[in-house]
Amino acid sequence: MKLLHKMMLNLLLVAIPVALGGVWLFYSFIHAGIQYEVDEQLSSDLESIRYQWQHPGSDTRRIASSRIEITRTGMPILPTYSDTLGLDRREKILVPMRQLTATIKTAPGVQYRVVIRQPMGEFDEIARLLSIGVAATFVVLMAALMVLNGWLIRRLWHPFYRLIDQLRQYRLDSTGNPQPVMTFPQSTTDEFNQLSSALNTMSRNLQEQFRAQQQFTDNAAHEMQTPLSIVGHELENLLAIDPLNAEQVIGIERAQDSIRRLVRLNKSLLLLTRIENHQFVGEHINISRIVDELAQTYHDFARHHGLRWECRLTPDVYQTMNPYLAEVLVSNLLQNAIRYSEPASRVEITLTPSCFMIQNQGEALPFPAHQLFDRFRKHPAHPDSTGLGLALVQQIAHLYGIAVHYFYQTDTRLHVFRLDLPQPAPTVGFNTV
Amino acid sequence: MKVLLIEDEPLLLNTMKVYLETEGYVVTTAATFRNGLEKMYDYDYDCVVVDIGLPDGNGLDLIRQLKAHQAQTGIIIVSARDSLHDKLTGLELGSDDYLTKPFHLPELNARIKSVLRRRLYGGQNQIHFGKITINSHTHQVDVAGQLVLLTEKEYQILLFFVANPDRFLTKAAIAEFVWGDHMDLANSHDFLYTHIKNLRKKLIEKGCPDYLRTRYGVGYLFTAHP
Repeated sequence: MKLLHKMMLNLLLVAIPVALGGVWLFYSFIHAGIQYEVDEQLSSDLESIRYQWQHPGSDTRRIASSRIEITRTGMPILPTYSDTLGLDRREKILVPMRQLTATIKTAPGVQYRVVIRQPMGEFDEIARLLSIGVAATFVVLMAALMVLNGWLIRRLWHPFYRLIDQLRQYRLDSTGNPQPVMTFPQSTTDEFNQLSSALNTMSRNLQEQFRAQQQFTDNAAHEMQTPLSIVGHELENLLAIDPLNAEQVIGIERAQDSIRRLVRLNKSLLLLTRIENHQFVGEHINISRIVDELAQTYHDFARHHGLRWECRLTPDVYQTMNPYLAEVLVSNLLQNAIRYSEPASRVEITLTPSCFMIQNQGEALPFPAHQLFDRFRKHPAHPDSTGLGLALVQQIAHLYGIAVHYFYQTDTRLHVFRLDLPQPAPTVGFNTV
Repeated sequence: MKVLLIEDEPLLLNTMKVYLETEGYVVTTAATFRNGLEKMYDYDYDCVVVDIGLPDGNGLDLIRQLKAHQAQTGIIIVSARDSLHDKLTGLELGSDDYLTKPFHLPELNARIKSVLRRRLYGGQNQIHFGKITINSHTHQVDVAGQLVLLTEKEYQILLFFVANPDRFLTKAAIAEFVWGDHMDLANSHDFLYTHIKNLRKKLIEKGCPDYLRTRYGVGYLFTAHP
């Protein structure tokens, strides 16, 4: 819920009971006041009637009013006020009335019961109108307050929303951004200024750390290459010594094998870092040709595994990519398909202008599918793999806005990798190597 | 054959030197840009192997100077960065080949031989080994005048063997020479074995002596000596 809406809601939650209660209280006060005045009037009328009775010479017209009923009675009663309904002569309807019942003693033992009525309709009407007027004023006031509040909030919080917009766009590894340190704007409000400068500091720190980490990976991978070369070469020179027994040769080969794994790992890590650093220049390339060439390269190998290698490639599909990265992307997917296919199953490679798809048959993944593209996520049956192949696929695809989908069809036991190629090819700017 | 190695890492320089000397080259080494430049002007070399990431200068500048000074020298670039840009610049400047670290020494040897063949023997592309004659231009292979039909991969394997005779070659080194980075697959050795078996069979069928020795299931030795 937006801050504005929350504030409005709270305001309304308080205002509505206050308004309802206030109107009720207001109405009650007015009603009580009017009643008091009417009762006073009735009592004065009674006094007037008593006076006329006791002084018969005075004006008697008022006694004959339709509002007064006089009947003879035996019992004296105390004056009582009550609410009742009475017929309005003019409008011929029943209207609420206030009545005073009392007895007047004219002579010893002669008593008259006097009922005086006063229609209350007009007074109630006034009270109602007053209440409605007050309620309406209150509603208008509330509405004005809310509009003002909304406008104020929008105006005062504007810098805040701008900060949020900027934060939303903030990316440490933003593509081709030459100055990734984001500067958040100053504002005239102190609180937002503080927020803005705190964000500025945070963004700078993050960027520095990110760069340091990237540089570290890059340097570490780089620095490792020379010692790896040396160890590899020394082992090769050892192999050239003439009388070597089987044990020595196999030992050296085992050492070389481990070195090879390290080299592969190192190369992949270096490649990942360089992709993150945007060190690859994109160009308009024929994806069909790359897929075709690699599919042929791996065809022999697939055949050796007894796999049926089926290619359906649309010719001349173009994308803006770095040719080397495109090759890595395709060959990693092909290698993956070969490595995890069952013997004598079928591998299908399909390329259309909008998607590139590889399907191979095999057992379901032993881990959740969303971990498939994680770094160092290895299939337990293949501990010698680097665990970086599909991570690279993901990274390269991400760089070029290609969506990678993986799903497993349980009934046909097919692993399906589908890459949705962007349409039309976007132009992505990169720093040169 | 005179080879100049320019590489800033002394241990790497040494292993390369030792290997190439056993191959019969006269090897001169330089560890810096300046030193490399001096040695370049001192003698004429048949082939220069240069690391482009030198601490006191760019190897590419060295290649520019070398091209201006002695154009017929073969040049192989060695780089720690697998950079297409460097590779293209290097090749444009007139270098013959580009190797990415880390590489196998037999591979360096095979590349040097191929460069020397192109540079020194001009149009003559024939390589002889025992009864085998290889035309590196047409990729045609003869055994005592009889044509042997090889697949491209079998040809590559044979070329690697012939470039590194009497040397123990591991399966991994062969696979990497033939398939590059593409054969990181688990049982690629088995796959390689099938290709080598076919190559061997085709050569023997044409009456070629079996030059190939298997060593402990780990690698091969290609030798004319029994």
